Amino acid sequence: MTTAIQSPASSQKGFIAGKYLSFQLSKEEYGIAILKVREIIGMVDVTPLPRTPEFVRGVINLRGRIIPVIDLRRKFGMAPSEVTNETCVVVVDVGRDADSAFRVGCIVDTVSEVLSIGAEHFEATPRCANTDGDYIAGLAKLKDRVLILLDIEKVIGDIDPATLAGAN
Amino acid sequence: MSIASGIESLGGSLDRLRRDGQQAAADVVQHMRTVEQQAKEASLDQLARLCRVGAETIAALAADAAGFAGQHKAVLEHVEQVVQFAGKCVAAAANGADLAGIVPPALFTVPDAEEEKHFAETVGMFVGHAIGAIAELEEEILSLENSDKPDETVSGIRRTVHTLKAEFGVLNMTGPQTLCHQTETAIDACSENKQPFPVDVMLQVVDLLKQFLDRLTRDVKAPFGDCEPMLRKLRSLIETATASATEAKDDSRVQMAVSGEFADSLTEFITEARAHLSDAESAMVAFSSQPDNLENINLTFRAFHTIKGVAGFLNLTPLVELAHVTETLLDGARSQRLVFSQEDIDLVLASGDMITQMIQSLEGQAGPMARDWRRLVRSCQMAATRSGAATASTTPAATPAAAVVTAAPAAAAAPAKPAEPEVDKVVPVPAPAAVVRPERPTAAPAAATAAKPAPAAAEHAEGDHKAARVERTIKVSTTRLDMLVDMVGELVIAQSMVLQDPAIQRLDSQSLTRNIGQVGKITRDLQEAAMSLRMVTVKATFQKMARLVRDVAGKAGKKVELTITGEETELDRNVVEQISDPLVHMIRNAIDHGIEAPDDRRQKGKRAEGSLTLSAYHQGGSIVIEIKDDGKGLDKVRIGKKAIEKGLMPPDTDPSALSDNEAFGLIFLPGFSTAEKVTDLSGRGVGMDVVRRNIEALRGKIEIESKVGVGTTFRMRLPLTLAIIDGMVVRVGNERYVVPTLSIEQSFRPAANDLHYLVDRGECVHVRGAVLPVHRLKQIFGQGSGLDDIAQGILIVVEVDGQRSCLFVDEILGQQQVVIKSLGLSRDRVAGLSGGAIMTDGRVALILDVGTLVESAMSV
Repeated sequence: MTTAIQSPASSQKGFIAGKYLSFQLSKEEYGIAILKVREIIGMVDVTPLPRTPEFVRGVINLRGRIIPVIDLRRKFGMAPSEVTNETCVVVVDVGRDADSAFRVGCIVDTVSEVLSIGAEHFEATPRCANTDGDYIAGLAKLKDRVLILLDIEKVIGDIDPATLAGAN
Repeated sequence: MSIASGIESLGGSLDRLRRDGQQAAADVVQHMRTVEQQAKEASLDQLARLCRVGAETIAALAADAAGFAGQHKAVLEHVEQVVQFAGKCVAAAANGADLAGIVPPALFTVPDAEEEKHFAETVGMFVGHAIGAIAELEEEILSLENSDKPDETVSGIRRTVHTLKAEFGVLNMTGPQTLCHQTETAIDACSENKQPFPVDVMLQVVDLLKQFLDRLTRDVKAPFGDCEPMLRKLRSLIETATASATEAKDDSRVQMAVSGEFADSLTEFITEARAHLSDAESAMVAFSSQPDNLENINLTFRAFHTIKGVAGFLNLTPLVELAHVTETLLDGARSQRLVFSQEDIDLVLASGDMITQMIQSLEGQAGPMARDWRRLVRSCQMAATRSGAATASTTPAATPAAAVVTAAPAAAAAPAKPAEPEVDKVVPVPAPAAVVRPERPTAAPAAATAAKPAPAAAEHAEGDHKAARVERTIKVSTTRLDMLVDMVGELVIAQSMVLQDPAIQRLDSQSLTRNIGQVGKITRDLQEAAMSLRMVTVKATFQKMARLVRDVAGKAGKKVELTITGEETELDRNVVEQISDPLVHMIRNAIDHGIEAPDDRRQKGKRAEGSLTLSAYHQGGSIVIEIKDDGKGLDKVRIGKKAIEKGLMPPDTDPSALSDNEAFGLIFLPGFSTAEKVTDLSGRGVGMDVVRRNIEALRGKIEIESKVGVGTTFRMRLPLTLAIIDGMVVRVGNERYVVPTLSIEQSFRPAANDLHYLVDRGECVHVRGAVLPVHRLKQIFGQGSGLDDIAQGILIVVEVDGQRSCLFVDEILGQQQVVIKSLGLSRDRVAGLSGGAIMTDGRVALILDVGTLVESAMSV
């Protein structure tokens, strides 16, 4: 159970072949393992959560359930952007087991498509890349572009509920 | 002809004897002689001797009509006793039990004036000596605790008991003789097996003997009374002493395992067994206060029986065995074969506890000690067989006449209070100067009237029981239930979103409005129904408390009468689960500190029995649970002094100047305790702190009302459900917050000249003579929008730990019930927030946790 969940993203630099959801942040295109993604919703009203780090935008009502949303742009140190019609919340489920499982919304500029990425496309992160936090699992070289594969467990794990609450 | 039928005929002749007096005497004599012969053959020597002397005496008496009339009652009484004794002997012999424990009645002899005078003199001499010896005995027992040579003291005690035994023997006082004999054996058993000396039991024996001697000084023929409960205690003492010696080194635990194929049934078994056990426990507790309602015994029996059945299927042998012996014991009471005493109830409860422990062991916790298990199984077995031997035997009850006689004591005792373990209750009131025993109404009518109410009550209860079963239930996992409640909550919000949608509101259609209204009504009904699914009555929790009261009162040596009202009151399941701990603490406190010892109470002119009332009721949208005692009440000054002593209050505070609220609030502080010494019941000062924390976690409140000498009332005010709170919706800038109504005292718009700024202390406002600190929500939450001028907004007065302060908000939007939801940050909370609520527009509003909010505002 534990290894099964971990393997898509974190084992051997976290890559396994499969489907990835691609989305845009600023000018770059990113990918998240589709197994982590629960749903994608349009941008909704966010209630700011006081005393939390800046990248935590607040909480939203996801069909009766309250979940926190984070702004991936802020998280990655990019300039905040205007909310457009394209802006989406990618809802992901992270956590290794039932106890630490938690659902978070990630605000992204726009969602593009679902891609099948095989081992032949995968390339480990180049040395020069920002290794801060190990958020990147690797790169996927497609015909005409490069996809940055995110290790969403690490990204979210970084805002683990405990840190989130204690970060005031 | 068997001895049983001989006894039967003797029992039958009793009726004639009662009616015809002297004429029937010959008949009785003849039967007695028959029994004597049969007893000899069965080598029941004591019985044979008893019959021989009895027959001779009665025959002698019968020769003189006038003399017989004077002794009629005595003869009757004696024959009755012989019949009873014979029944016990036969039953015991049939079960292979020890005959030594059965007390034979005194030999029946013709009262002879000369002899009597002599007897009285002998008794007088003896009593004088015995009183001294017993006083010495008591002293020795008491000195044992501080003795540096305990062994010597114990052998001294044994010598004294032995001498007493011999003297009772000389005087032909078989009852006390047997008692002394058993006591001696018990002392031996304890010292041989290196068991602690049973001080309590020994003192009880001493008391029993003392009371008897006391009666003897007034009347040389005073009866000894029934010492059967005491004997039973001694016997079990001997058993445990011998048993524990061999087992003391055995630290193994009861082991049980379930093979894989039954794993599914196991979970079900565990839940069901728990439910059965809690039913059984409450039934037993109910039975101890209402011994005439046999339905409670039946219920307990059924519970153990079911557990036994399923456990047998799962191959849980130790559990089956324990359930089985308990069942046997209960069966004795069920078939009215034995009078269930308080000890028996304790045994059944102990079995229940052990089964609970064994079930826990199935879930991976440590099981009970194997030696405890063995001891309990044995005690149950003994109690069950004892019962068969001690009360009138059922064997000779074939002819109706005999049945009446033999059943009388059992039936007459059953509807009365259960036989209390206290020694003083066992001994009957001092007998009048009659020759033999105190007068009792003729057995037949007594049995007839007494026996009737019991089955009637049982039938009645059975009827109730059947009616209750008609409501069918199914078991649903709580996760599914919570999911349903959540979805219904969503539906309610979605419905109101539809209703408020501008597009819908623009439509001008009557039928649409009507239909939307209909949907709204159904939604609300649905929500109510879904909520009610989570509601359970507080009954189970309250009944657990009944058991607790019984145990704690016993330990503290106090008499407490518990009254429970409103146990049908429903509360959210989660709340019910969490009030159990606070209740335990408060009830312990009430009994240990509140209610005085029986003697103190009598001195104060109160009833010796303290009364404790546990009640639950609705009040203004919340549930109130009240614990009320009529004990000594809380002494403000004493509490204040203690608080200063423990450094919980500055030393210059005047304790008498404290208000009730301030003083009573002190007892909730951690480490506070007025108890002079720490007992295993309470006194460490942890309890009330736990109580307050638990109740606050439930978003409840606790109030205390107390009057010195009159009593104390603890009142817990709890929300109906954890899921919904009454909240005041406030606005600060663009954001809305929900403040729980329970924490709000008042709100007002401040006048500019009431506001002050204290250097280093921050902002304050003057409210009705008090100066309260002001906290700006905008500042605490670092919000960009919102009013800055306090005079334009609203101040909400909140109370935290008795400290009042004000929260500054822009405006109050209204009051509404909101469903509390977690913020999705699973583990920790954000300081100052207790969760979020989804408002009718679908957005989330944050719910303030006033306690941590004010705390964090102070620390900023």
